[in-house]
Amino acid sequence: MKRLLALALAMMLAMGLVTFASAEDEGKTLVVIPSLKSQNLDPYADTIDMDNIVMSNVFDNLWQRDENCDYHGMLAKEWSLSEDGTYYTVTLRDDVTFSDGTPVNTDAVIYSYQSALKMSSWGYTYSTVIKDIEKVDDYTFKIYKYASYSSIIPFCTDYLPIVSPTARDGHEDEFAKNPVGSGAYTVESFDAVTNYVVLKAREDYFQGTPAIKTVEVRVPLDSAVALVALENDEAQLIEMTMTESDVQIAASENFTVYTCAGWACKTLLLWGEPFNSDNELALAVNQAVNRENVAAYMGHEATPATNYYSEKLMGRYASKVPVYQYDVEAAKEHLAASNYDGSTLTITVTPDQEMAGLSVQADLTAIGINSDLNIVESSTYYDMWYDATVGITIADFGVAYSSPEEMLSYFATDGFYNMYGLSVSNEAYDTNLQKAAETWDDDEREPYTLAAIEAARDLSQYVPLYDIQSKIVGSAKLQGIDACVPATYRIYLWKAYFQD
Amino acid sequence: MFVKRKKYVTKATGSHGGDIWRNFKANRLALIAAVVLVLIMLVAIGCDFFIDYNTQVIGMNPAERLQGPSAAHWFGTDSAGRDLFARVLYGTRYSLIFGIGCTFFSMAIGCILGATAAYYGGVYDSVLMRIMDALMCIPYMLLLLMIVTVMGRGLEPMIIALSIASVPGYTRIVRSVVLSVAQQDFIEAARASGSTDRFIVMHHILPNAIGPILVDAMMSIASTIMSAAGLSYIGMGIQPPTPEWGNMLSDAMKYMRTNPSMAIFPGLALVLTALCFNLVGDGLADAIDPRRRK
Repeated sequence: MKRLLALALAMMLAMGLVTFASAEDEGKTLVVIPSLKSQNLDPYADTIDMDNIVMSNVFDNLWQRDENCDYHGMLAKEWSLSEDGTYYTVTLRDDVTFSDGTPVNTDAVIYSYQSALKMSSWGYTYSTVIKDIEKVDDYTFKIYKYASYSSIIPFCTDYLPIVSPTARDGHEDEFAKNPVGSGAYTVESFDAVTNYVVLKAREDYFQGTPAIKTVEVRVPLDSAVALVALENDEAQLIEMTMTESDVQIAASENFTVYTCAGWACKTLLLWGEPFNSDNELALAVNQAVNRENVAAYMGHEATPATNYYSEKLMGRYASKVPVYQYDVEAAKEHLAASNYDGSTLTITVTPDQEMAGLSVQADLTAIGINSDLNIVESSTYYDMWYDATVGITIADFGVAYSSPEEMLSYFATDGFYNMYGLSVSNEAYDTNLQKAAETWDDDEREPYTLAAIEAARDLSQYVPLYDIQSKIVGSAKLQGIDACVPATYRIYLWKAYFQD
Repeated sequence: MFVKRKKYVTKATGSHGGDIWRNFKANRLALIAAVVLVLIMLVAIGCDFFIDYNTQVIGMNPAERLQGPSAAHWFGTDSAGRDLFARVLYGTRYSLIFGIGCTFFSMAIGCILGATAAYYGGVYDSVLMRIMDALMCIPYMLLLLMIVTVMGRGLEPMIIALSIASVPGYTRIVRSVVLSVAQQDFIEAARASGSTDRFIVMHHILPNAIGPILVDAMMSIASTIMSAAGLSYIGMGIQPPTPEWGNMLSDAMKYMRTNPSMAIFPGLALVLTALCFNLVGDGLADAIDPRRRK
């Protein structure tokens, strides 16, 4: 009897230890609800189908951002801009390896860049930022700018993850399920059915061993449902933009709301006809829209636009070319001078932009322009973009890597959008933009850029509405998440930890 | 021990309609529901007289956003600063258009198809009913979505979709009712007396079959209203800023936890209207068919 009791006690103790150990492991697991479902873990697949959490932590880039969104070296140890400003000379760290043991070197960087060029969806973008990468030695290379305004460092921070050529070259299908990077985490499992990705920390990561050993990246949810998961501690980070209501609920001591102004500006795009051939109509719309109202309806997310692009993207040009102000009388004068025949214009938006669309519709009605609001789901909306049938719409304009000149280049006569007949240009616009592209000194380039922005403003192909204030929500116990994460979605989890 | 029982009028009158009305009146719940429905209809018809559509219903006001119920806004305001009370009242109009209009439109078509199929029979009956059977195999909501996807979104496509989707059901009901009526002796007598088929169908068959059909129609109005709200809820129906209870509920979902009034009042209006139609339909069924009365 005593032996039986002793045995039972020992078993209970053992079970308790196992449970405690499991609890310890579970306590170190970070569950993330992402903004995108991961379906392909190859960053250079034809379409990017990988969530940023996975991208940021399985692969390293040449540079990274800190909590203030300033750039620092990641794989790049040193770098310098040439005297003529046309290229950077970059020296890599020589102590970093991929998770398969192969070294991170110049060949890997060049391979990654060439893989990017082959992407059917994004290859064009890479080619218009990076002109070429030239090897100097195993750990040194030159990276050439496509144009004077090409933002190499921001672009490479977000869009040039360095992959292992050994693992990927010729094995792209396998790489899509088992990617190999030099990041702080490796992919332990990827379920093609549920699209869950489980990441495991690398103990030998060169920036430090991550405190959080396991990260489980699940699938996107409705923001209200995601918030409930956070409240129940089923997830500790929601990597998706929260609604106004969700942010109100999350404003408690149990959560941390990360806020950051982004590089994107919500913009009313006046694609195609009748705007291409009726500049007065475009100007009428420009001055009919009340940005204060639009920003108010979008709640926490928005500050009325004061620049042609977001203030962050404008950088040194911020506040130098103000937008046309809301002026109903001026709008009516432009409308009277236009060829508008009373026909109904269709504004196409996704459901999250319904309020902005309604506000713009009300503003247009106030000056005598008839419009319909067409609310479509995201998949239909993106199909319309690809088919160039989206017409008048409200969309994000601007990304972290871009510059005002780069944004302007899309609307030049030989620009991307003009190729699809979505926009028009003029000589002042093209000439100044060309001169800006050829002027490598920042101060000397400024007047050309400003002149090109003014020409763009007068063409009125798009109307900036509000700068986006992105917010994401996490558990208060989770620390080490940079404040600029909501704007960039680059979440470096090797810095993160749970505070007891 | 006395057991109080519901008493229905047993006093005979010379009018069948009078009997039905008396029996209906004795059903208190149905009567109350009918009164409420009349009020709802009056609101739908007369709301233009006390609500300004442009300022109160669709006029946006950022300073008044997301307010709870108050003296100024009895039901609160929505995310665009619009008065919910005005929008709920105005939304009554669209729900009744869909409910009553579409139901009776589909009933009319169903009556013609069902009555003729039952009366003539033969190949016409077989072919028609097989078509109706095939349509009924498609789930109702899916059929609605298919029609709306083809025709586009908005008021007119919704009316057409809701009407067409209900025709097969009515055709079958009418056919079965007419079949039972058509076998009556008075029909044979009418035929023998030289009445035309059209006359027999319009003056003998349908009037005798209309009772059960009408009852079914009243019950269907409620489900049609709910279906219309469902279509608008998923964005396939009435488009903003037009106030329709379904799209108001859809807008409210994002604010359920912080501003539940945005969902409560349109939801209550929807439930109340559907419930009243159901109760009236139930009352009519009891009043018309004595075998249903306890």
